[in-house]
Amino acid sequence: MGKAKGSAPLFDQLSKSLKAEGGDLVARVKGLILFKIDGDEWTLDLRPETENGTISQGPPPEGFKPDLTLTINDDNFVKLVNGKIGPQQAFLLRKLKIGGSMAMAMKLQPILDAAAPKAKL
Amino acid sequence: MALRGLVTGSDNCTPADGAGPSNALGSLADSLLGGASKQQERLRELPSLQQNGAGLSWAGAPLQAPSIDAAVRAVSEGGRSGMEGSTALNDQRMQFLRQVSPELADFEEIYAQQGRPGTAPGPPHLPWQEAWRDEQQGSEPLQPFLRAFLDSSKAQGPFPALPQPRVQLTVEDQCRIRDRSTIMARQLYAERGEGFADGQVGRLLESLNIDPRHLPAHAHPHSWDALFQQGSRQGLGQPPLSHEVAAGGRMAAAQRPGDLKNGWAEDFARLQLRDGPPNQWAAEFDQRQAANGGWAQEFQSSRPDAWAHEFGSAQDSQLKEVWDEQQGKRTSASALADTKRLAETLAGSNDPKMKNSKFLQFVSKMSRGEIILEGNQAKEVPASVMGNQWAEDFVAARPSDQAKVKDWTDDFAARWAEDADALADEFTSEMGNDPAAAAWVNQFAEQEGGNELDSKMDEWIEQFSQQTSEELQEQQQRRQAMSSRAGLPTSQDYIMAEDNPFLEDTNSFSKGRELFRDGLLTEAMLAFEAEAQRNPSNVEAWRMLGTVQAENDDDLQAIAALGRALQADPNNPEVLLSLGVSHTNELDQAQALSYLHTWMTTHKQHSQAAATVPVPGDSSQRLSYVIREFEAAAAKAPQDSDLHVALGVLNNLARSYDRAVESFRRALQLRSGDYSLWNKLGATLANSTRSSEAISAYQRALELKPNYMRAWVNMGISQANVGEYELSARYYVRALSLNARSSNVWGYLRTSLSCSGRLDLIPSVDDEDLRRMQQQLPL
Repeated sequence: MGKAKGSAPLFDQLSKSLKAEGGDLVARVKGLILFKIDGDEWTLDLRPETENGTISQGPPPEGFKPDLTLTINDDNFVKLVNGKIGPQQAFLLRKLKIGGSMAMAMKLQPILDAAAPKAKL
Repeated sequence: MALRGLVTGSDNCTPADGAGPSNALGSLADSLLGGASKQQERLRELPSLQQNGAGLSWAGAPLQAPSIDAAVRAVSEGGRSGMEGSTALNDQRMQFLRQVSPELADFEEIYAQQGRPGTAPGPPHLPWQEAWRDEQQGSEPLQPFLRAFLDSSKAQGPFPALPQPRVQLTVEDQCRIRDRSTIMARQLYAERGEGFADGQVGRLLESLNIDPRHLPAHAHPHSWDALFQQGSRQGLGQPPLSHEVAAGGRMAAAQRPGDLKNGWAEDFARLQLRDGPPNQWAAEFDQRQAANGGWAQEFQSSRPDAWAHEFGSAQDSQLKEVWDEQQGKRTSASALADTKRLAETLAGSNDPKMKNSKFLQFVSKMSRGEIILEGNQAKEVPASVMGNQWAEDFVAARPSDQAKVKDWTDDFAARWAEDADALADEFTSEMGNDPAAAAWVNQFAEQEGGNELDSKMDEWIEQFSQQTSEELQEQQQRRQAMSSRAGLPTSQDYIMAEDNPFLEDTNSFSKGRELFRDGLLTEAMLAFEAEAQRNPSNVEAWRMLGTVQAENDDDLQAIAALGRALQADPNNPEVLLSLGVSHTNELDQAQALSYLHTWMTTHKQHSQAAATVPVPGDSSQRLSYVIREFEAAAAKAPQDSDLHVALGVLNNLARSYDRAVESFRRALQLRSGDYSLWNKLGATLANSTRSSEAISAYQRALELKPNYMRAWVNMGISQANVGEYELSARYYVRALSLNARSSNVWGYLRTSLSCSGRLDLIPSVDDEDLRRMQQQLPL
């Protein structure tokens, strides 16, 4: 895929949001989530030992297995974060593939909300 | 028919580019309601079905829907049908009706769709057909009502009263109208609340002479609610919905084979005249039904191809089997029941967290049959724990890996930057209001001249981590070396534009002010930059530069400029407040708190009132402590709008948006012409998911200052939040024409285009081709 991806600014926002609400997300999710988006991988580490959580491009560090793997294409990820499709829809329509912990997949929405653009004061 | 289109055929999320089967609302409706038009259409497409009719009049798939419908009507209108027979025959009909009943509503819908264009049904010599045709015509006068209902939704106004129709509707029809319009109204008026939607429906029913009190309760109340909830997240009631609905209706009408009804009627007539016992017809009808159930099941396991094959080869035996079992379980019915149960659970919950994760509940219920919900208390990690953690990390990482030490050092640098500020503030509050001490503390917060602070820092480290060691002190020094190079985002240097035409202009500062007043932000920025370069101690130039950058939606540059202003004047309240705002936007709580706290402690009037607030021992209480300071001051001086602004910002940090809204509203009562306050109010509303209210606040801000780029961007975000993706793209383009350097906004523009299906424009976004975007998406 080309350089520009719709998901990139959303992950930027997610990374920023982690500073403010990462603690909440960690407390809620407690796990390692791997996003696979059109061949790119993003690791969202929300394990309790990360405090505020971290997001980084690339697979999880060696020796760590993601608790949840979400596979989706860039376009659909953008739609997911923008609320154009719900996670439930995306899953039922097989646009979103879920591997690993279903219980953790249930907690996806707050993560998506954290990645959505925020209005500025 | 438009109403059905709304319920099943076209949710407002279906992309205009037709990419894939994204009609999940529809599929859910289908699975809840049983056989649906989509399935029927697919059935028709299967070649094996066309040939496998066994010569029976209605066995060809295209005729199926009307056949069932007719059977139902024949049963329900037995008195007029001319098909009256023995009681045994009547029993059989009743059996049909029971069999069919789950799908009844839907088949009726299909039938109504097909009848709407109004080709006359076949040979008119059968009395029941006459009766049926009458009924078809009877439904015609409904159209203006339903259309008016839709139109009123576009205008978002109340449903206008229309002259009474001369229609006598059956109870069934009345129910259908009530149910469908309720769903539709809840979609269309999602923003105005259920009360309004129900009122609209009430007016519609009233003008149709329908008394809801006389109607039976909703047929599938849970499914409706589930449908509505499913749709509500993305379907926040946009006007375009009705267009899509109308289009869906037209499409459905066009798809209907023209001779369908005639053919069916003839077939039916032939069947009637046959010598064979009517029982046979009934039996075969049952078979069809049962086969349909089996098919639905197969379809749910999503192997349509396999099924088609299987069906082609083994249809007969399958039919027989299913027929044999027909008194037994109907698998599709049980699947429906499952789904319905799920839907009930979804609908029954009022907890917003639950709604948020409904997908996951759904999935989880499917897989395990239980729901796990986590509590959602916000737990703040106390700083001492952070410290221990960090020290442990360090000890663990140090001997093994040099690279990790580096990471850690960076980490330390970042964290130290925050905590130094915090410490500085605490120190400030202890020192009281001595300006010299305050200045020194500010210097400390700026991380200037760390050497003299070594002893202070040691204390801090001890208190912070309890694990101090020689190594830590070594690392301190390394950190200071690192942080100057690492380019921490919050301490970025201000980046000046190149080739500034104002550089030679000694009068650029006053020109900058003029340009700023005229709303020419980019030119004003250049003028201020020129002034700041020539005269770096001009606080006002740096402060204005910070303001311009904030209005241009670039908080990092704003922070850098304001930081320079603060160097020249460490206690400038306006600079401190702006820094608090910009750090809040960057979600940097520690920094924002530090500046706002300094604002308070150095303020001539308010610092005394704030000093009455007890200082908490625990730094995790810091946010609520600063909020209490400002509340104490605001209680004493309610006329100072700055206090309310600061409280609004702080409550944004605390994510208590309702309070923040209240604070900004109060500030606006005192300064109603301040466009930046309107934007702050809007942003707060938007971040608390009240985007439609936010839009009107932004509108106010933009009326006052049309070149307020930040408000244009925020407007775009809110429009995207309410599902107006194309409109939001237009706002983003407008924002970019004020400041095309914002890569964030280019990114947002891209997401909105991809949501609105304007994939053709995405290459232009990648090229940042502003001119083409302006041509394509004018506002």
